[in-house]
Amino acid sequence: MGEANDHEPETERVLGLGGGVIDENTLERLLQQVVLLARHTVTAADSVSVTLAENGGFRTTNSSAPEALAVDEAQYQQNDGPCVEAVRTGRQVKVAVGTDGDQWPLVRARAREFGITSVLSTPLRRGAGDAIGALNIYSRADGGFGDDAARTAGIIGDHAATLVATAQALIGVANLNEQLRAALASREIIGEAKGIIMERQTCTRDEAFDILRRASQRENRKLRDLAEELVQRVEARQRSQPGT
Amino acid sequence: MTPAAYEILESARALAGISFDELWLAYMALGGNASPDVMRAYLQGTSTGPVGYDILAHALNEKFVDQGSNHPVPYQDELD
Repeated sequence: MGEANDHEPETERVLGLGGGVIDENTLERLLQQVVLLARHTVTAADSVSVTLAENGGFRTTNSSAPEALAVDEAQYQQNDGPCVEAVRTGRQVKVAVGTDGDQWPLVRARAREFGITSVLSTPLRRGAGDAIGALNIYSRADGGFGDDAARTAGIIGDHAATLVATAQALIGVANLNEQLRAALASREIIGEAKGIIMERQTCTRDEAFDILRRASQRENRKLRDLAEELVQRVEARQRSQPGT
Repeated sequence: MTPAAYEILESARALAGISFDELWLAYMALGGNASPDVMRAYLQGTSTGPVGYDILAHALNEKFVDQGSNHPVPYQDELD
């Protein structure tokens, strides 16, 4: 656990994390770093998890201990709790759960099974208020989380939100790259098939496309697949009759 | 009054529930040469192309086949 008043190493770790965006491939590996960072820098932290809001629900993408996952999931089941509220309101929620209380009794009960006394959930905000998830920190310490812990969690949460947004944008670019690659490969094979048909049928390229698309409709197969089959047949013949 | 060719394609695109970008990618993959902007303008009736009507129609038909329909978009020679 880091020293409460020793902010410089914390800042370095947080800033160092930002430089990892390019090197890491997956969002979850990035978030694992966030979890470890929070676990080691937030005073009184015993276990940490990250929640992402997805498809109208919530999912714990990473956790440092089973207890964090268990208490997260109790909240998703109730559709309420500190983490859920942090995502909904975009505000940090700090709550002592070591005692009975009116708010979230089932979540409190689940937390107490693990000896958890305090929960600190920090929203991962994209822009002004729109939260895309939460950083959840659980403590078994008597006093729970102080103001400095809340502040440190806030800093980590802001950086984590930027990480998530950046990683999601990179994932989008990677998906688009893959779609373009597939489209270009299809375009190339169809172009080759059209060339073969033009030569054989002495026709224009529009007429060659017409022949392919009629066959595609008739046989109920993708035009690309028919084109590939044609090109492969011609290629196999060329290989078996070299020099002709 | 029969709809113009581009209107048939545009209503098919909307029916298939695919974006202009998705359609353009499929169209380009089939050998279509128009840029995304020209294709979109053609579908919206603000450009006459050329885009290759049948390539767009087939791109849409393959999307419909993926969704379980059987080539609902007419080709050029079925329009007249």
